[in-house]
Amino acid sequence: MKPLLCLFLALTSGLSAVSSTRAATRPRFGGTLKVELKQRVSSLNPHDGQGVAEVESVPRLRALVYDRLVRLDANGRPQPALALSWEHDTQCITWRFKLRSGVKWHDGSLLTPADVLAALEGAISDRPLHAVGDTLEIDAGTPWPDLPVYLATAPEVFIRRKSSNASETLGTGPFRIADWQPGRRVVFQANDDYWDGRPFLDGIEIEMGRASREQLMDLQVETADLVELDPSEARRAQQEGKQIWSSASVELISLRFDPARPKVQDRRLREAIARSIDRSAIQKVLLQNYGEATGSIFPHWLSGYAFLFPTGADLDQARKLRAEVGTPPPLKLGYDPDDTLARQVADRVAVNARDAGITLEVTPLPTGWRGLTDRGVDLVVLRARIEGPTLAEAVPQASAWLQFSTGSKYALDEIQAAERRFLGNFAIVPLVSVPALVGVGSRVRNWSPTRWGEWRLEDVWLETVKP
Amino acid sequence: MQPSHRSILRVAIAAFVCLGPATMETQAEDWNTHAEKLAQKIVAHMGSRKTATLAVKNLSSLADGDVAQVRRALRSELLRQGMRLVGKTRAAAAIQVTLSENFEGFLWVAEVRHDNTQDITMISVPRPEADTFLPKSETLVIRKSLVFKQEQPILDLAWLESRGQPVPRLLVLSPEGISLYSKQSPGWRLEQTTPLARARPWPRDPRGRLRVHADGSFDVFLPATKCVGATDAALAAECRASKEPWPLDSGGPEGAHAYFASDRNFFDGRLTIEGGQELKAPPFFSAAPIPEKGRTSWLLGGADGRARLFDRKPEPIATFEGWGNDLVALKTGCGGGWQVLATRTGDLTQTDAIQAFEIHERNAVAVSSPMEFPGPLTALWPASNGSTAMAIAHDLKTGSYEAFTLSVSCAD
Repeated sequence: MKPLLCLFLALTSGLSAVSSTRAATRPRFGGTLKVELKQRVSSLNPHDGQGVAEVESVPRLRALVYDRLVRLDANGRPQPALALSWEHDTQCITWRFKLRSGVKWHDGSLLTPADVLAALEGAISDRPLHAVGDTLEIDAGTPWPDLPVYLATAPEVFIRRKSSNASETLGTGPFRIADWQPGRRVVFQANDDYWDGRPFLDGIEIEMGRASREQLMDLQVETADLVELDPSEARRAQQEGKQIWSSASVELISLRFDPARPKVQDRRLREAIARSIDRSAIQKVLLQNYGEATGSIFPHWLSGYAFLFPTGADLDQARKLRAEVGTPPPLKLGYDPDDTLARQVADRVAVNARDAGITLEVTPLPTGWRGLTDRGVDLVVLRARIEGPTLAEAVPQASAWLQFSTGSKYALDEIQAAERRFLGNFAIVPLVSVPALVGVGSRVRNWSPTRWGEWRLEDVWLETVKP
Repeated sequence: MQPSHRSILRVAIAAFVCLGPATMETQAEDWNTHAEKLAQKIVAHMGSRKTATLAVKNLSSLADGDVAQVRRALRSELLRQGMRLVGKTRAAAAIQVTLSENFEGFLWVAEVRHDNTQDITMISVPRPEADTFLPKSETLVIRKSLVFKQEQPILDLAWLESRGQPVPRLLVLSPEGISLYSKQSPGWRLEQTTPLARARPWPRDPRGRLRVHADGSFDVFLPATKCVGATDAALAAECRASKEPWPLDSGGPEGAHAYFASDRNFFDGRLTIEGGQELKAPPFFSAAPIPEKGRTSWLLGGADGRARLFDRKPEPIATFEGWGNDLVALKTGCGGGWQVLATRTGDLTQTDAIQAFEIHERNAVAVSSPMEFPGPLTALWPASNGSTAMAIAHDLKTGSYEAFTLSVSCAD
């Protein structure tokens, strides 16, 4: 057998391995950041199956404790993290990642290539991994030019291991867990030996399960530094002069028809409902002008072609289609009972559909609805997290949430064409894309999350802290 | 004699005339190339149809001038590929091109409508690099000159003495190591690079200081580490753990130095000034000597955000607020002879500016307009001659780190 000769091309080497430098006003070390979250997080372990409500918060907390081989800069470009550099063959099938030395676990022991291998075994689409000296070799099986981006974003590729007492999981990240009360509260402490420089903060305290209204009050009285706000609270806070940070649109609110329900089998009926919806009113009134009305799955900042999907209501066409169908029976429109915005959207959609002669009965979904095959409704208001940070990364997110498929084709033309075909069936009707909204307290400095909503708390520092 | 304002403006205009059109030509070529690609895709979708209307709409951040160029290029390419662009009544198809944009770059989308059908095709177009030449007539008080830029952070940068070398050479200190560059117009050529070994992880907000000697040897001061190196035969550096103080290299009193905190980004407050006198101040980020009436006071950019003026005593004699944390003092011969350059308050997400002040009778008076930078200043150090400074800015648009020489000129 001929030896296989592969040409390895060094792609990146010697890229900055140090966190970005700063000045103008230099950061201060010290202080504890107080954060509040809407979701309750019960575990940071990706294998513990988070509920959908936790999906947004869990990666934020994981990133405090665990590192990855690669991370993304603000422009979405892969940068060294636990991997110093990487190269691949001409087909991007075999990849080699040179691992950083001198990194310590939170218990003080050194991170070894064997540790990295163990952490990633089975996590990279079950592809074979080998550690050769200080290099990790990954056989992707097929061309995978975006593997570094995957390593920087996929939920399962954090580097972690069980501690000696097996009750906790160790990381190498900028913070370690000092106190963990699942679903209620977590306290993080700065890792003095962090390979990328000790964080400026001494610690972070996170309260979970706080409603948006309560978080706003805490921001107003300055008992919280970072809070997650719904659009109405965010608008109010902004009017009061508070700093509100908004990500790019990272969540899609859509209608999803249940394909098993006989009442919605007729495509014309689904299209009639779709064409009756006034998305602009939902965006202006319910979202308080945050986010954007959309007719597409992927937000414009990710695809660049969202404008191709119309968003305006067409009541004449909706009525015409409804007339073709006859007089449809009332349909049940479900919403998550814990989601106020979803309820408001459902009410608005029902009003619009009524104008087209279609009756939608708005009803809360049953407890545990996410796990149910039959939810007892004909369509639901669905929230789907589609945050990229590249379109290639967004496609599997859309696949997971909406069962959207491009058939493994990732060229822009092909994704757009697949999206048109998918939405042409009106099984999913995109309504609005929504940003993440964070209220930022007055003593917070260097708050610079990424456009797609990734928080970088290791870079944050607090004003009025004496060194 | 100081150069006149008008002569500097003439030079700036001449430079723009020389450099500007060349830059614009390169961009036009790029648009033509991409227009050709899109035109090919459009023509493929036209099939046997040869007549069409063309409309171009811009949804991107492209400036009007660029949009006009793209429109012209597209028209020209479609015509070259056999299409005829006509009015609506004679057209077999309607082509709508939208210049859009996503996170990764520009996206040019073409919708080809004919016979009640619509075909869509698109191409990705990389964003052009930001111009490196910014034609502007600078004030005479603060002048900045771009010396070097790179993608990785720069901690400090210094020129090497010529010593018979045919071209200028530069040492660049980065967290990864130290690099030697030689001038190769229009840029720099990397000659050698050598890593700097550290026992501890870099502190967040890493800082470092480079001091070059006449014989080509150099010292590097890093938190808890000192390196010594040479450039004569080959670039080499040896590092060791060290608590040695950092020189304040200001052109002020010889031997002034201060101790840098090991795992932090500030000086711990211990300062040795003229005559070996030790001063204990609150932690500070930067220090600038202020000679006045035969004595030298020290202006320290405190870690608490206040700048304090010390006159050999532990208690400050004046406190200033509203400046950023980086200060240098330059000996200029203008005005009072010395000016302090101070950064603006803000953080790394904001652009920065430098402004010159004079300290008289414990009062700070602005003596220049702010000089703007494309991002936050990440380092500001005085040169050993005392009359210029090196400023490193992190360009927020491009992400690159840019080193500028700063000087102060007297106004006419």
